[in-house]
Amino acid sequence: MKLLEGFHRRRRDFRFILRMVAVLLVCLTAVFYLLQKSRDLPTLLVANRVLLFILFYINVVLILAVLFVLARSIFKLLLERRARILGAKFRTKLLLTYVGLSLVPVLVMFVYANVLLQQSVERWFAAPVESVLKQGSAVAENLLRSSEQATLHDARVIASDLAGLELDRPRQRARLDRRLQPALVREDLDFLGVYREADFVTAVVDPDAGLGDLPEPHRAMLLEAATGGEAAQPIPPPRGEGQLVLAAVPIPGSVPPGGVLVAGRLLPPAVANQTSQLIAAYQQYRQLETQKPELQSSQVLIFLMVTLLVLLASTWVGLYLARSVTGPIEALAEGTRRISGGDLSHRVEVPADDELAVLVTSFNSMTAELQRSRQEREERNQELSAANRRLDEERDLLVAVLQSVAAGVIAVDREERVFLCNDAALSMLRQSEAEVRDRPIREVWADEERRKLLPLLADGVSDGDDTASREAGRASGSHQVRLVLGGEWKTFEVKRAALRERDGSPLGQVLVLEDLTELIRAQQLAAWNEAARRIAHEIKNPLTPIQLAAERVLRKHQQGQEVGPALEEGVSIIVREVETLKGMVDEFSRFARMPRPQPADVDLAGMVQETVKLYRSVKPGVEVAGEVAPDAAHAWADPEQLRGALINLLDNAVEATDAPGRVDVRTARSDGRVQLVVADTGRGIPPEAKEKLFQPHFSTKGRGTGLGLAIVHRVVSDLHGTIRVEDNAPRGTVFTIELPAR
Amino acid sequence: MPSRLVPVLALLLLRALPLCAAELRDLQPTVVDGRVEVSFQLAGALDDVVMARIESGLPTSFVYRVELLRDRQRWWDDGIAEATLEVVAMYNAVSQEYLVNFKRDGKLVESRLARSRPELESAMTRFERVPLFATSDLRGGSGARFILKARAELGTKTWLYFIPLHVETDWAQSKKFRP
Repeated sequence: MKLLEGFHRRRRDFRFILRMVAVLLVCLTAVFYLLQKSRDLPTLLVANRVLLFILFYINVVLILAVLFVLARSIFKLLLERRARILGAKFRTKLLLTYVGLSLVPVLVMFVYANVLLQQSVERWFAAPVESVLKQGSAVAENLLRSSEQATLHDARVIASDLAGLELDRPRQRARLDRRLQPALVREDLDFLGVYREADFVTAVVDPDAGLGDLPEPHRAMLLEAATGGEAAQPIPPPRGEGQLVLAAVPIPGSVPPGGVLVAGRLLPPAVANQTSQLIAAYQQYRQLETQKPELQSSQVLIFLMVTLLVLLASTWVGLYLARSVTGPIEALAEGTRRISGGDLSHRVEVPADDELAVLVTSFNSMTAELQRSRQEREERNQELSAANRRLDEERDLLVAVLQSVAAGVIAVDREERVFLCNDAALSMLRQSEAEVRDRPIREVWADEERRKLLPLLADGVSDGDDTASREAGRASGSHQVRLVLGGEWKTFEVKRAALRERDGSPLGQVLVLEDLTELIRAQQLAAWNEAARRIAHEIKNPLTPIQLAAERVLRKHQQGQEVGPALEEGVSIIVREVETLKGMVDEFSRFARMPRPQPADVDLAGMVQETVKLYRSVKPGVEVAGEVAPDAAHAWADPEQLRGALINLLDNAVEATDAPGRVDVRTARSDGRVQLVVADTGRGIPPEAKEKLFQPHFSTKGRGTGLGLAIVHRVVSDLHGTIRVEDNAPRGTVFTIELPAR
Repeated sequence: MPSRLVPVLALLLLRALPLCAAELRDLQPTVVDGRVEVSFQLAGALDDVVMARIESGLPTSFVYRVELLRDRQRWWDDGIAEATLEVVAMYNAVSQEYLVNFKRDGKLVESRLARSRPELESAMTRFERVPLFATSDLRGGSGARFILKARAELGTKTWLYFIPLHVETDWAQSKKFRP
């Protein structure tokens, strides 16, 4: 198949070359033919020579073609071997094998056929054939010679009868016919003529001979006889068949000299034809023998042409087959080189058969797979780069956000090494980035004040205790921490959050610091303003009855009325109001002088039961109940302060609940912390009041100092806890205190 | 032996092959009556092979190429004119005569019958004062000297059965002459 494809591919070239060779052959043959023709050669000989020329031309072309193909192939192979092209050695071996395999038998056949032919040619011209033909020709010639001799003899006899013939005398010339006619009959001749040298005088012809016209002896023969010699010659009769043997003899004593008698005897056509054929056959044989070298040459040329054709075909086929094998190998080697150079788009496009086709297909598949893998890798790299860029942008954005927020953000990894700290945090903590960045947090906050922040970090994160870490993470409440930094008191609200991987494994922690110093200061100022207003108001309230009582006593006295009862009543009012003022002052004093909490393990079950017992019969129709969860029976707090807070909440709840109603006190555990919940079914708290509920001197009852819930909030905060207020369902209010568990 | 000498030696060997034993002799010019007549004879041409060829009846021709050159000192001679004389012999075995045709520059100029081998040999190889050139061809001044060169082509042979070779004599050269 490949051979045919290659042939079709180059068919145009072949056709062109073949046409050129054919045109050249025709032109050269025509020139050669004209040259040969100009030499008056017989047609057969010219044809033979032209045939020889054509054969020679074809052989020369074939020799040149074989030499060209071989030389070109060998030259290319040498170049390829020198260039160390893969497959060159293999192709060389293949070519040599093909050429060798075809050359040896073809040459043997050529030599053998030539020897055989030469022997055959020699046999054609062997002795029996030549001898027969030669003897036959000799017989024919002898027959002619004897006829010539006989005719010469007859001519001599008749010439002697004509001796002394006076050719110039018209009478004798006129009677010459009568003298010749009897001799013609007597000697059984067919023609008798008298010539004066080469000039015709007279002649008689046997009418039965069928000559039809006078024969014309050759001038040379007549002249030879006129000079005293004799000549005989067979010539074709003017008409008819056979040979006319002419014999010319001089007429003795002719006057003037030069008289010639020509006698002619016609050979029978059959004898004459056989004689001519015998002579012609021998002539042809001799011609063939003469052309024997040319005949041998033509045969040799034919054999050589066949040999060269076979050799050319075998060489060409060998080359093609070698190329069909080494072509794919070279293409594969080139492909390997290109691919190793990084060009994965390269494909081997060489047509191949059988296993080579499988190899080429596999190679292309492998290359395509490599290219696809590389494309995927590049795409993944691009995606990764894009993701990295996006992460960088997000990180920059995060950093920008972190830098722009007012809160301080400090993030530590699992080894508690600081990997993020924004400017706000540095400013709050009065530290520089160099002091903080990539350093263990415990070294960063090693001083006495900042060390107070360390307990806010969950210990479990650094030591790998996942459970503790998760619990610490979930318990990411806010804490207020007061530090003395740069000689100033600073109050921070600190929130901690755990950082985790997607799979939940700990990544680190982040602390968010809110500088509450100014806010607290403002709140304190506002609180003190409110307190001053409320104090003034509260003080003003008792002062009015005191003033009225004093003015009534004074008016009674001025009017001269009985002062006694009014005085007693007035003094009583004054004393009562003063007591009120005194209680108010005591409460303020207690709020202002709240002691530092002394945390301890608190038995919540006992505390709840005791407190609930106090309020069970305070308000009829309001049921007060307590329930302590087993896992929330203890808390880490100051027992007295916590009791006070619980009483405060319970007191408010009972007061706010109308009969029939219910107040529940219960404990629970949530996210590692202990909850103390006081829920009532009372009137509830409006939403706008909830925001101010824990501020000092805020009250919804319209009486009292409004410090109760502020004190509760203060106690819980000091115990690192939180308190929140929510609506109860279906009505009422729920206060929830969360405290660290023991 | 250097391989490049091999083809040269092969050519010399080929050249040295005794392709032709004939020799052109006695090339003589005769200037008379405005003509340059040429005389020469060919020796050794009618060997047995040639005679066998002639007597086989095949037309056999000898082609004589004659060149007229002007002599130049220490330089190649100047070719002035050339003529071709072709002799074709045909044997009639029945009449045992040889018909000899003479062609000059391709044109038949004479036809002669020879009745014997010596007569044939004489007709084909001996030429006496054949007018081939005109004295008008002898240009080049009064002091110029001229030369005749001639060779005979006796046909073709095949070497190694397939390589055709022309059988021809060497160039024969006349003495230098003045008109």
